[in-house]
Amino acid sequence: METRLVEVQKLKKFFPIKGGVFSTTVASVKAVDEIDFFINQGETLGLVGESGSGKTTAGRTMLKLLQPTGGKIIYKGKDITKLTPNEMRPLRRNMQIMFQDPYGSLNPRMPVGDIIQEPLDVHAIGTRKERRQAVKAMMETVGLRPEFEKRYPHEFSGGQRQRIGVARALVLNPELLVLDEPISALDVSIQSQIINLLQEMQQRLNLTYLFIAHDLAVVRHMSDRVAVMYLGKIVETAENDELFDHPLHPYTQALLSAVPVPDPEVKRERIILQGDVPSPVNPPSGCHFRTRCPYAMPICKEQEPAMIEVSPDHTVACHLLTKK
Amino acid sequence: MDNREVLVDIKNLRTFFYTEDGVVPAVDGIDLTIHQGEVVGLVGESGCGKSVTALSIMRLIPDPPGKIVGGEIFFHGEDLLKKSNEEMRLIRGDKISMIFQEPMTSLNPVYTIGDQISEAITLHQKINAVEAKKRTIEMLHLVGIPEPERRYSQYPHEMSGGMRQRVMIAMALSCNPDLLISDEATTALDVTIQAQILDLMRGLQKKLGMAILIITHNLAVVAEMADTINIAYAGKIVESATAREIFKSPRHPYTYGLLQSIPKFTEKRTSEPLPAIEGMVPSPYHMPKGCSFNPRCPFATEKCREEEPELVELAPGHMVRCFHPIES
Ligand SMILES: Nc1ncnc2c1ncn2[C@@H]1O[C@H](COP(=O)(O)OP(=O)(O)OP(=O)(O)O)[C@@H](O)[C@H]1O
Ligand SMILES: Nc1ncnc2c1ncn2[C@@H]1O[C@H](COP(=O)(O)OP(=O)(O)O)[C@@H](O)[C@H]1O
Ligand code: SF4
Ligand code: SF4
Ligand SMILES: [Mg+2]
Ligand SMILES: [Mg+2]
Repeated sequence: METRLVEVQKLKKFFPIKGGVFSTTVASVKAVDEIDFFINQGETLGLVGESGSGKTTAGRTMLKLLQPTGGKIIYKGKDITKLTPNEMRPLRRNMQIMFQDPYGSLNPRMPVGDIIQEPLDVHAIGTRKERRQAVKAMMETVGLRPEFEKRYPHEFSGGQRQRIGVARALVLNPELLVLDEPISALDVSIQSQIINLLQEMQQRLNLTYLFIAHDLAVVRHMSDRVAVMYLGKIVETAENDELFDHPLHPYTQALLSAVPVPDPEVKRERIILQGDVPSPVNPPSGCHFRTRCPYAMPICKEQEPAMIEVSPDHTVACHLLTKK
Repeated sequence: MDNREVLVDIKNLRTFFYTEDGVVPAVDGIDLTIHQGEVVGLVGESGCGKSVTALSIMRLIPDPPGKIVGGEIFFHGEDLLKKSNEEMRLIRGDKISMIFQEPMTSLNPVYTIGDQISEAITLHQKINAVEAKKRTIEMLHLVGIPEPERRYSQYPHEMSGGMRQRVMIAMALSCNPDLLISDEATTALDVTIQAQILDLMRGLQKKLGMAILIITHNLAVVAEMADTINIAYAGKIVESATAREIFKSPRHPYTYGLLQSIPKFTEKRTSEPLPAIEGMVPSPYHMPKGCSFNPRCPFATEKCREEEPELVELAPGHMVRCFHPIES
């Protein structure tokens, strides 16, 4: 049986907007607004949605790098929502995050060997010599030459820097890795190298991934299951092929139809959504998607659609499905 | 094969940058033809010379450090490289206009978008302010901006990324250009907004009949938009053909590798690794001898490491720069 490594329930993260003379909270950005998802051990959950939909915030809150405003985070059956930073420490090494930007996320004044070793130092793992050995082995594993350990980040290409990021994230031998747009900043011919590396690492080390990306072709290639976010909400979750072949939520349908395909002979029916994504400070009442939804009905304004399970492991939040 | 009149004909364009660290051959053999009303794609990875090609056509290469050191750019049969700066100023924004990836850098934050478009119009057309405003509102309407009268007096920061890109398109098309250059115009946008903008560009192209040069690193975008596709690598065109040909029978090992390596959105998931191209794009300061793709090419031979291949026509309209092209 599959075991759940991590699960979030009604997870919420609001960012206060301060204003006025006394700098009081005048409103809040509802970045993540009561979402539910789980990730099984060894699998990849793809998290997709447009920029600002709350993907990064969801990933960071799940790792408790941001304190949730509400809801629960359950890691290996244990509720970790209320743990203090001190209590989190032993768990930290099992959960890592890797960022989009291969330039901004590495300290430019540190040699890459030290960058990769830093997490080992922080967690005081092994002797100095053992740490260095672990670093060299990890460099080798991700396809960097160990003799480059003394070089600085600017001496590497974008793809190599992303390999440094992978090495740093994996050196503690974590269980769970949040990959936040890990290939978006890379050249096309380098993207596939990093995708292959991430998949190989997952198989070798039995890693569990939360894979955040906006390139849906890459998400389809990488993920076991996929969750779709829109304006702070998860609107649909399903197994990979099920989601891509039978999307049920009107937003998922529009999103998938908007993806251009690299084949001039494929002519796809396209749903062109009108307008822009509304502000997460004042999301529309009821269903957040209703202002752009081609099927919106009166009830969509009044009532938030509940998440319902339409088939095993395929859940959708839309009134069209509850009406029947 | 194509009996439309040739609008742009670029022959062996070479544009170099003379930097402190050495010479960057940013564009070193770009050949490109655009017929009237044709949508042409220019595809390649970061640094391969796409933007420099576009800026060369516009004659906007910063000099120093840049210089167009060779080649010809025929536009309506006349070589743009022989035009005076004054003549070019009249062509830019009138006969040829360009939209960029980040509209914020090309829109002035302190003027309303309406004033900016009106100004662009009066620069090239002898019309008064009232007519210019009327034309601007027409253009805003044409690019699908709701309530164009109200939007006329808004500032760029009051608009979303997609709206700003529409404003850029309105401005670029306001003088009815023969050629619109779009440099990664939808790259920074979300997919649903990208679909809106591509749909808009396609519609306007049909309606107004201008030619479009679409510059992108996204093969899927050109597959959907372009009639003809040019693939650039390290400053050179390595392959060019109709969109159908490029995707169905790529002949250059780089094009072939690139197409193989991108995950297919429409295909079921497999656990197989992607057939990736090994290695990385060469540094412009250390271009390999011979064919610039040879260090990464699985078919490279001794000859590839010594001699530079020419762009040759392998089939009607299908140009390839390779000694050992892939069989079709
Ligand atoms: N002003 C400049 N000074 C020096 N080198 C330059 C300058 N502009 C461009 N280059 C160099 O010319 C080469 C081609 O650049 P170009 O901007 O055309 O790339 P591109 O294909 O548009 O890439 P991208 O996909 O990243 O936009 C690069 O090596 C770049 O560093
Ligand atoms: N530290 C923060 N303070 C205020 N607002 C934030 C902060 N981080 C994110 N946001 C807002 O929360 C929303 C979701 O952001 P994010 O999670 O980064 O989205 P995504 O990763 O899907 O692009 C956005 O409106 C963003 O501007
Ligand atoms: S609940 Fe209503 S508005 Fe929301 S997606 Fe379904 S039909 Fe559209
Ligand atoms: S010329 Fe040689 S190295 Fe270059 S692409 Fe062709 S086979 Fe490969
Ligand atoms: Mg993000
Ligand atoms: Mg560019």
